[in-house]
Amino acid sequence: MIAVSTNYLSIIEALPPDAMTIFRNLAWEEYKSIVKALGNAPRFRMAYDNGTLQIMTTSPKHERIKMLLGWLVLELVKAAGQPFDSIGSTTLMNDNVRKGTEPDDCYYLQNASRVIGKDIDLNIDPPPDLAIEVDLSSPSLKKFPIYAALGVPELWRHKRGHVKFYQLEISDYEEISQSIAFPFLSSDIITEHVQIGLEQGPMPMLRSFADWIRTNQPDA
Amino acid sequence: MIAVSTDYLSIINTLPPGATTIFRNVSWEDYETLLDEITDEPHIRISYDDGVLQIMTISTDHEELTVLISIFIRVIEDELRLPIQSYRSATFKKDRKRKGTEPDDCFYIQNADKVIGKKLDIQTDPPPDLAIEVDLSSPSLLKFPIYAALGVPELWRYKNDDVKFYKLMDEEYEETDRSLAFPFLTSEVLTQFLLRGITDGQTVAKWAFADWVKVNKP
Repeated sequence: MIAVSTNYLSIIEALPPDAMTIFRNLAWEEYKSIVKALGNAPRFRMAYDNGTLQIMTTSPKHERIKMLLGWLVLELVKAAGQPFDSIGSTTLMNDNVRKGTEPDDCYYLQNASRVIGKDIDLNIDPPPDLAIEVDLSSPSLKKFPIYAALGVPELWRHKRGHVKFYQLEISDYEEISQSIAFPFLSSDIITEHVQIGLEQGPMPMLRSFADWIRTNQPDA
Repeated sequence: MIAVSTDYLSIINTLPPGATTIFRNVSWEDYETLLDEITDEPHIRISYDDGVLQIMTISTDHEELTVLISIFIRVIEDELRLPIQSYRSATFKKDRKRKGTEPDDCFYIQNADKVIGKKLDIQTDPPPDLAIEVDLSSPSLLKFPIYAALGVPELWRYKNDDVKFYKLMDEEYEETDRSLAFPFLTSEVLTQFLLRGITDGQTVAKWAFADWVKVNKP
């Protein structure tokens, strides 16, 4: 192993779907240059914490679950007539904490009015109110500490067929049964609907979810 | 996805030291081909578990830790006049279980007499009595089920400045304070000497450990 500087990009670009790779001892600037070079290619999810860079490549199953969750969120904001914004899998990074991650999806809800129509810079603007993670395989680099450092108040994670909700408590996430952004919504309802979406497709899922919202949403 | 087979080898050959890469949906045949192509590359550890292929590249600090642990085992061998046989990072795999791995080091201790003087055949010979795993970044936990399937009774794992001992109970590993192979040795004592080796070097740590073994051996 000779000290020739590694061509991280060519390794990353050669990765097949559903792969993961971890590099150690990378400077924050190297991470930023890789993020810039890849330009948010949708096939990759990168996370950086304290010198360690993890790259995961997505797969059709992963993308399918991500889309289902996104449509469920859309249904919720439509029903509430609530302003929202999304920056998808944009790299969320902050120079002060030197951590970065790319969620599978993320939303501005409570803070939507502060970012709509703006170029978002996380060094100045608030972090998304909700980030979504789909974990088909266990990532080795823990992403929760990264989201915590970035100050993302709520996470939804799909893992082993279940969606769980987490709330940021000071510097750690705690599991919660009801969403912060949508307090009438439980993680069980989301789990149930993702399952319908996976088995029967998005349309039956959306119909069932719209019905459920109509019955359960508190009056505005 | 698309039926172009991934060129694992070219990715692997460009990995920097200390990297871990995981590929999914890899066939047993691809795994075996890869093992044939990467014979005797001491800086790569390849593991396979039912479709999941994990490649680790070894860094200098990783080697330093592995060497220290090996030195300590050789000290015990000398002090106890106990035959021990190592196959270092040989590939251990079981075709039937579709699992295989390469430890950082491995030792036949209780079963040394069964393998000394033979050409080792892991399909029929017993597994090593002790395997060593050094984890600087990443998930050797993925390797625990492989070791369990191979029937390796004892693991020592270094992680976050700490060595922990594990023993195989039924089909899983449980942490244990004392080594199975060397019951007079605790993971705490081994960790102490390992940290000493990192600061004071291999020679000083080896001598100090030899003194400790002289006093504490059965």
